[in-house]
Amino acid sequence: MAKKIRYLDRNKEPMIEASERVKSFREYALGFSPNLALDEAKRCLFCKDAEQRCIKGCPIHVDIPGFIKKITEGDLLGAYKKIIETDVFPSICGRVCPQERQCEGSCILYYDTVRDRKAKGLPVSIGALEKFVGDFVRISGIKLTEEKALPTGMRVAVVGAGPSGLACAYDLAKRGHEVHVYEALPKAGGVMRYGIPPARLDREIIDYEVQRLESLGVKFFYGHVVGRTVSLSQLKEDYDAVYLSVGAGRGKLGLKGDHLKGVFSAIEVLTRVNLMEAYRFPEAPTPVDLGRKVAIIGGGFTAVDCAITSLRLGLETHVVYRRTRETSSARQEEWDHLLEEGAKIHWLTQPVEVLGNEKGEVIGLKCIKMELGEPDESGRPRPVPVPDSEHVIECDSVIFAIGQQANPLAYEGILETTRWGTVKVNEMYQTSVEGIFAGGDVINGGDTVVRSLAHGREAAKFIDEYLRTKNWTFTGG
Amino acid sequence: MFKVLHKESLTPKAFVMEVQAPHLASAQPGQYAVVQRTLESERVPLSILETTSEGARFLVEVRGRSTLELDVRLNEEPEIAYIEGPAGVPFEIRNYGRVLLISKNWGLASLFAIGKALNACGNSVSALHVGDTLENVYMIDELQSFCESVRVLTEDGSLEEGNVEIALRDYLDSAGKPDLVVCAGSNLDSSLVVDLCKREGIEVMAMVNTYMLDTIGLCLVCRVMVKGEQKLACVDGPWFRGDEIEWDYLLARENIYEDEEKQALEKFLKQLERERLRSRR
Ligand SMILES: Cc1cc2nc3c(=O)[nH]c(=O)nc-3n(C[C@H](O)[C@H](O)[C@H](O)COP(=O)(O)OP(=O)(O)OC[C@H]3O[C@@H](n4cnc5c(N)ncnc54)[C@H](O)[C@@H]3O)c2cc1C
Ligand SMILES: Cc1cc2nc3c(=O)[nH]c(=O)nc-3n(C[C@H](O)[C@H](O)[C@H](O)COP(=O)(O)OP(=O)(O)OC[C@H]3O[C@@H](n4cnc5c(N)ncnc54)[C@H](O)[C@@H]3O)c2cc1C
Ligand code: SF4
Ligand code: SF4
Ligand code: FES
Repeated sequence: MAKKIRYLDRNKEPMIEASERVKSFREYALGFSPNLALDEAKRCLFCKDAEQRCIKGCPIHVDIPGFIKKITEGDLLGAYKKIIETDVFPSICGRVCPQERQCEGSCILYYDTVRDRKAKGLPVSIGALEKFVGDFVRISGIKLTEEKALPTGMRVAVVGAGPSGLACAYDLAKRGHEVHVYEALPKAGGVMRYGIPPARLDREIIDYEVQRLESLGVKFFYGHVVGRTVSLSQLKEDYDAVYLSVGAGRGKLGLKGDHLKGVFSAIEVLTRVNLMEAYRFPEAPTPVDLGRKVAIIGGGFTAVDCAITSLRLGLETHVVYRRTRETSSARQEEWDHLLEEGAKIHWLTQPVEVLGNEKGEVIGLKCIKMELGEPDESGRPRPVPVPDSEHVIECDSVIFAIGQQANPLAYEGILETTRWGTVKVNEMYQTSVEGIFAGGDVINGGDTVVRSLAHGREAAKFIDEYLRTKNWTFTGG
Repeated sequence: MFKVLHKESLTPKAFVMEVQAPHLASAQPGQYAVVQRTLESERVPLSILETTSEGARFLVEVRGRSTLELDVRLNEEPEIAYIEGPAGVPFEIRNYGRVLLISKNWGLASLFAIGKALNACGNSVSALHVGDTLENVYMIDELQSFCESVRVLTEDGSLEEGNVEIALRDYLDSAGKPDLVVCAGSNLDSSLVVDLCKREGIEVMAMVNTYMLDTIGLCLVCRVMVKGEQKLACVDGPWFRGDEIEWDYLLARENIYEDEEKQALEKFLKQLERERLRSRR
C-alpha cells in the first residue's frame, strides 16, 4: 500500500522565545529531539531519483535519503558516517546553509525539480536533521576513529583556516599526507569564527571540528600572516603543495559620509563581538560602541548577522536594503526571526548619504525609496528610485554590510588574479604557479560555507593526484 | 604558548621583554607584531625592537588596560598565548644621507630597528626623544650606540622641558636640514613634525597610530587616507610619507573608544585590587 504523503506537517525546531533570545548570544534554535527527528525523517519519500532532486540541490551532494533512512532505522552513527562521506561538518552545515535555496528548495514535497513546478507541500527539514545527527555524535561523546591512509611522506601547507582550508586539510590528512595549516588569527574557522554570531553557530562546534582535524594529525600554526611572516612562494618551496584558502574577507564601505565617526564595516563589528567577545565588555577587554540606534546597510548573510548582533547588544536596529526580501541571499527564516526580535527592516530602500553633526559623528542615514522596474540582465526586476521619496533614518552608527572584497595580502604579485582581485584557477583548482592550488571565497569572491567546503574537498583530490603525478595543466587566459 | 624569556622594568611605566617566537625571525625594520596575553585579551600591536636568536624583543609602555595586563600578568606567569607577525610593510632601508629620528613616548620602540639599520647602511643618524614625563624616557644608552647625537626632552619639565616642535626647530637651527625625518609615537606630535618638515621642504616618513583589530586587512578599522586614497595601516602601513597622510582624518578617529578604554582600565584595576586583598588573607 502506498505510503501516505505528509505534505504539510513539517516539524519545526524548538526555538527560544524572541523576547528571551535577544538577551544573550546563546544559540536560539535548539535542535530536534530524537523523537522530533525521527518523526521528521519519516516524512522523507526516499526518492529513487533523489540525485535529480535534493541531492542535486546540495552543493556538496550529501546522500540525503541515505542518511535520513539511517535515522529512521535508529542508526545515528550510520547516518553520521553517511553524511561525512561528503559533508565533513554536519553540525555546521545543518545550521548555516541557506537550505531553502539548496537541498530543501529541491525536495519533491516542495518543488518538483524534474518537472520544474511547485509541489503542494513543505520540504523535509533536511538541515535540521543533519544538525541533529552531527550534534548527536558530538554530544554523545562517541569517538569515531576515522580511517587514515598510511603516511605518504608528502607535506602540504594549507593557508587560511576557514571552512575551505579545514575541509581540504581533513581530506589530505586522511589520504596520509602531512598537513600544516597557517592561520593569521588566533583561532580557526574563518568567517564561521569571526563573522557568524554564536547565536547561530555555537563556538563549541567549531572547536570540536578543529579537534577532529588535530586528532587526524593536522597541525595548526596561528599568528602566521602569509605574505608577511612567510611568503606563499616560500611555502611552495618548503612543501610539496600548497592550498590557498584565505577567503575574500575584506570589508567594504562606499557612500558619501563614510568617513564619519560611527561608520563601521560589518567585519569590524562582527569581529569585535564574535571573535573578541565585546558583548562581555568590560569583562572582555575589547569594546564595541554603536550608540543606541544602528542602521545596517545590506541584505545578505552579513546584514542579518549584524542585525542579530546589534539586537543582542540591546540596540534599536534598522536594516536598509535596496532590493526585496525575495532577492536576499540570507536564509529566509532569519528575516522572520529578526522581525520577531524587533528589527525594523526597510526593503526597497536605497541609502544615499551618511549624515553627521559638527563633531563629525553619525546622526542619520539619508535614504530614498525604490520600486521594482524592468528586469535587468539577470532577469531580476531592477529597483528604480521613487521620485521625492527622500527620508532620514535617525541613528548613531551605520554598518556597511554590503559584501566583501578580495584581500590580496597572501598572493599579491605571485598569483594571476581576475579583475575582481580573486585568484584565477582552472577546473582542477590549479593557480598560475605550479604546486599552488586555491579554493573557497578566494576564487569566487564570496559564496557559502558549504560551497567552500566542496572546493576544499575537490581540491584535496586534485592535490593528491598532483602529488603522485606532478602534472600541471594551468594555462591561464 | 610563547615563553617570555626575559622581562625588565625600565621605568615604572615601561618594560622590555624578549619572547621566544621563532616565526618572528624574518622581521625587517619597521615591522610590528600583535600580542594577546590570553586568547581573550585585546590584540595589542607592538613594534619589533629587534630579533634575537630565539624570537624578538619589545619595548612596552603601560598606557591602559591591555598593556597593564601584560605588565602585571607576565610577572606572575611569563607566557603569551598568541603572537602574530611580523606584520606591516618593512621600512625602506637605504642611504638617505643624514637622518633624524623623532619619537614621542613609546614611539622610540618603533624607530629603534629602523635607526639601527639606517646607521648600518651608511646614514648618519641623530635622534630627538620627547617623553610626557621622565617615566617615558628609556633606552637612551642603546639609542646612543648608533646615533651621532641624541637629545631628550620632557613635556613636564622633569628633564629639559620641550616638545617635538621645539626640539626639531632647535635641531634645524644648529645642524641644518636632514635628508630624512622619521617620526613615531603620537599622531598629534607627528602631524606637527610633518607640518614643519613640509614648510622646510624636508622629506618625512611617519608611523600612523590607529586602532587595529584583525591586522590582516579585513575590518578597515585602521583605515587612513593617504593622498586621497583609503589605505590600511595594518597591511599597507604603518609607515607612510608624512606629507601624504591626511592627519585630520587620522586625528578624528583616534579616540573613538576613549570612554570604553577608561571603563576597561577601571574594571581591571578593581580586579587587581580584589586579587591583592585576597592574597593578603
Ligand atoms: C558575516 C558573514 C556571514 C555569513 N553567513 C553565512 C551563512 O550563514 N551560511 C553560509 O553558507 N555562508 C555564510 N557566509 C559566507 C561564508 O562564510 C563564506 O563563503 C566562507 O566562510 C568562505 O570560506 P573560506 O574558507 O573560503 O574563507 P574564510 O572563511 O574567509 O576563511 C579564510 C581564513 O584565512 C585567514 N587568512 C586570510 N588572510 C590570511 C593570510 N594572509 N595569512 C594567513 N591567514 C589568512 C583568515 O583569517 C580566515 O581565517 C557568511 C559570510 C559572512 C562575511
Ligand atoms: C603599529 C603600531 C606599533 C606600536 N608599537 C608599540 C610599541 O612598540 N610599544 C608600545 O608601548 N606601544 C606601541 N604601540 C601602541 C600600543 O599598541 C597601544 O599603546 C596599546 O594598544 C594600548 O592598549 P591599552 O589597552 O594598554 O591602552 P588603551 O587604554 O586601550 O589605549 C591607550 C591609547 O592607545 C591607543 N590604542 C588603543 N588600542 C590600540 C590598538 N589596538 N592599536 C593602536 N593603538 C591603540 C588609543 O589611541 C588610546 O588612546 C603601537 C601601536 C601601533 C599601531
Ligand atoms: S550540506 Fe547544506 S545544502 Fe547540503 S544537505 Fe546539508 S544542509 Fe542541505
Ligand atoms: S527530495 Fe525530499 S523526499 Fe525526496 S529524498 Fe530528497 S528529502 Fe526525501
Ligand atoms: S586592522 Fe583590520 S583592516 Fe587593518
